[in-house]
Amino acid sequence: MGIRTRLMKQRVMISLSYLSILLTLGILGAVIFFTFLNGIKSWNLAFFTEAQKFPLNPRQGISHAIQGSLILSLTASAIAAPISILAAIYLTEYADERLRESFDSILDVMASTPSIVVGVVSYILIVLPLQGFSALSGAVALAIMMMPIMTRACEDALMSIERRYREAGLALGLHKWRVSLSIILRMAKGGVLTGFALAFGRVFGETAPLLMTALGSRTFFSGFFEPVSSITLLIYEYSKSPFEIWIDIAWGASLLLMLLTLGINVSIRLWMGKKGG
Amino acid sequence: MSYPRRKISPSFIIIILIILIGGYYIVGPYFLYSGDIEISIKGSGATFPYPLIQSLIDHYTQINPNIMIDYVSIGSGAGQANLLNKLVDFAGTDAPLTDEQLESAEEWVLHIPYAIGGVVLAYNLPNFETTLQLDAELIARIFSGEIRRWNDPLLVETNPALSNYDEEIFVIHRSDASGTTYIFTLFLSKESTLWRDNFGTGKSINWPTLDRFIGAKGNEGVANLIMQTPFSIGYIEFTYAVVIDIPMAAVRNRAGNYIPPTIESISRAGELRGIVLDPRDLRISDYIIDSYVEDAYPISAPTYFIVYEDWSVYTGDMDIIVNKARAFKNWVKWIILEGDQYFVELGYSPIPEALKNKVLEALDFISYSGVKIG
Amino acid sequence: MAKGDLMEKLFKYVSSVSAWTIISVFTVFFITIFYGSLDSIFYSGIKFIFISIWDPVKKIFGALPFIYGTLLTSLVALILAIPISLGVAIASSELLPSNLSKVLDPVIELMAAIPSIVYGMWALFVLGPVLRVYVEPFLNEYLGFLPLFQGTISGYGYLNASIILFIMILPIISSLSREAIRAVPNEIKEMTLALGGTEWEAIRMKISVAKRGIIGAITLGFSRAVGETMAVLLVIGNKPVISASLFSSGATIASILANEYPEAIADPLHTSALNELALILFLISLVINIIFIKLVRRRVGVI
Repeated sequence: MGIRTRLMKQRVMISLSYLSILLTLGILGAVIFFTFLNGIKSWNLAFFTEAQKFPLNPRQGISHAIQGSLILSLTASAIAAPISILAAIYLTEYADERLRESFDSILDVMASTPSIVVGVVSYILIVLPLQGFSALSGAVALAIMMMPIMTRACEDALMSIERRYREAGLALGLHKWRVSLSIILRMAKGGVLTGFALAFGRVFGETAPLLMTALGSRTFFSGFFEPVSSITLLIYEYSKSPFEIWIDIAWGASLLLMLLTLGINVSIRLWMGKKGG
Repeated sequence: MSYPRRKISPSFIIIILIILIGGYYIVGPYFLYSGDIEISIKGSGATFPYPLIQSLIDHYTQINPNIMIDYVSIGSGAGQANLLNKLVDFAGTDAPLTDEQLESAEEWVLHIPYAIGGVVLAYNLPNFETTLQLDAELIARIFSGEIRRWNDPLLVETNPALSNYDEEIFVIHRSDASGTTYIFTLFLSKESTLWRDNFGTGKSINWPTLDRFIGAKGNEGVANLIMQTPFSIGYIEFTYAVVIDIPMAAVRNRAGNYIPPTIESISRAGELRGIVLDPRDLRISDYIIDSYVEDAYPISAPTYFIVYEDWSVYTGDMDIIVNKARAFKNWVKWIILEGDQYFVELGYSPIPEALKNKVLEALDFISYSGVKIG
Repeated sequence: MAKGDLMEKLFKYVSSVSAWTIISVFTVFFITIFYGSLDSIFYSGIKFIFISIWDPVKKIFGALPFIYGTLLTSLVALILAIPISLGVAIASSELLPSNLSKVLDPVIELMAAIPSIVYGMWALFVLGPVLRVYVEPFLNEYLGFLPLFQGTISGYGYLNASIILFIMILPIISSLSREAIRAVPNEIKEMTLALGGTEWEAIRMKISVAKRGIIGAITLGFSRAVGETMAVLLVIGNKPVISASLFSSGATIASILANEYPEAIADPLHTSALNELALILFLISLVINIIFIKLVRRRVGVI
């Protein structure tokens, strides 16, 4: 192969690489642009303060869905956070290397289990015995999804604390549990919070497991044993509707959801960047 | 003497703001909306009447703020199952319970028809100015895949304007089990042997596996897909077609007239002349679908609320359950007596006067441990 | 002191229970889905994965259309995603000035943070019409001799689902590949250049060293595509058929679960058949993920 063809090939391949990055940015731009364009139309006061109304009423909004999303994700966090933090402490402070590694593998596999499967499991384990769709089952489904992500993130945060702090704590005559909780966990606070925010952002935008657990509702939260709405469920339901006002609201809700999840991610990055730099 | 001023970081302010806004959404509704709710009843079921039920709930609870009614649209079949499992206080269904289902129920279940719906053939034919005219045989041939193109001689015969539509027909159908499909196929089975022998009647149908056939979930999904797909036809509830203002075919009824679906022509199908009805068993779908009335739209069917006649099947505090039963009864009474205006604006047909009286009689059977609820 | 020891024991106990709880949730997963699908397994037997008819009313349950739809859409998504992700990875790790790629990398990674329902809305209302009016007629005209691009054009179906899956796995594959390429020591590149290779040949050297990590990235992308639900659900048409045409409606395992599960409550056998589908999906993703972990874990030792 002559040098000319080799250089030719190089030029083609490098142009293609640049082209791929342009294409990717173009797609991202198109997603954000159209969501913004279609979504901003329905943003008015009623959108943020009213609940669902029948589809001819122009004064309606998604406040019940915002409420539902917050309650579901926060309840899920309340279930998942303590278990995950304790599990991470166990794995980093108590368990031996080999045990931790096998746990890590399983956690990684868990984290990539399709969310719809989590929904099916929660349906069988909670919806069926309780005989009905409920906010509780939705929160548990989300908690199951959060746990592996949070545990892994906490583990990384705890591992990053140098060994000498543990030794120093023990040398002071403290028990290992005091060292873990008051010194190591406190020092790793930032990383733990990051992991928490990451998991929260992920489940906040989750739809599939909620379809078969929380189900959706047209009114406000009315108890953990009743169905509840969420922003994602509302988008799904409205997107299939023929009513223009509901489709517009679905776009508005998409925009809100996109901005919130991007906001969470960007702030994590900025915050981590600031800390790192 | 001056103290060192504490610096407030912007991220601190942002966090406080997030907590305040989040807090507003989580607890705000309790103060704003649910202050005086005393009785809450819940139902689930058919998707077809969902916008109507939403409107009837909104308007009724505005004048009765102490009552909360929730309705989740998950499909007729799931609604029936929920009621039979006593998970809801009432269910909405397009298809009446079968005799076996009624027998399996713990107590007698009342059927309360409160609206009549039409299943219409909505189509998307660009620049087609006249109204499409179809009879059961043509519909059966289109939905069995036998008629492939819009300019098929059989279609052109009744619709000359179709002759220059040399396009494939996209058939949009329901992909989920639904009462709409049931009504549509029941009508076809009554009128077309082709349909009866090959597809039959059911809540879901084994549709031809052709590329031209596209499934969608819910009336919403089908309506949406028709609007977005030129040269398509599909069956949806009349009300959805009205709201999105999509053209609908006139369908030939038993009297031989091509009747376009309107609120009146669908309501006319509820005229049950010369039929004696038992208010405890108002399963009237069979009389209404493919009606004999000369100006009735033929693919019409009632939609029901189903409730237990005796609410003592529910476990729990008797007073609460009696209050729920009473609230439900009053709500339905209000729907029958004063709700007509809300039907019409959303494109639903109210039931005719004669049937209204039967429904009011049926409501009187609602009881607790055999004691009627006043 | 005794009190402290007690606390120590208690704490260790509680934290180990937490760790084991999470792991046992995973075991419970398998048992639960398996238990939930027993009825269907007894009813349909092994035929379940070979029948191509899904008719809950007539009680015929065949999983083949869904397995086919899942694999087809994921594979098409991968075919689109692999070259473009690699292009992105190469451009940002080797070609772009580092301060530019420092900005672009996180921006592309943000794509992965957008919830799938948002992509679904976009695919339904923006991508669908574009495919119907421009892309599908074009493919049909110029590549219509292939069965893939025959059939009726609607804008919804396998193709739409594959493209939205491609968009969703693009950031995953590209960022993991980028990291894999970056992990290769630059000496390899310099060595190739010193031996008279072109810059592109040097980059190819690096890629071949990073191959394992890149394959790992592709595996993870595949696993995401297989399990993705909402975006696919909104655009695939949800019809249990097998069609060679990419324009046709179809269904994936995940989409049929989301579509039918809430309503199947009325029919236990239907629910059980859906559980069995979930079991299949669970096993497929389990296998892919185990492969992924094997690939990526070993990377550390290779270089």
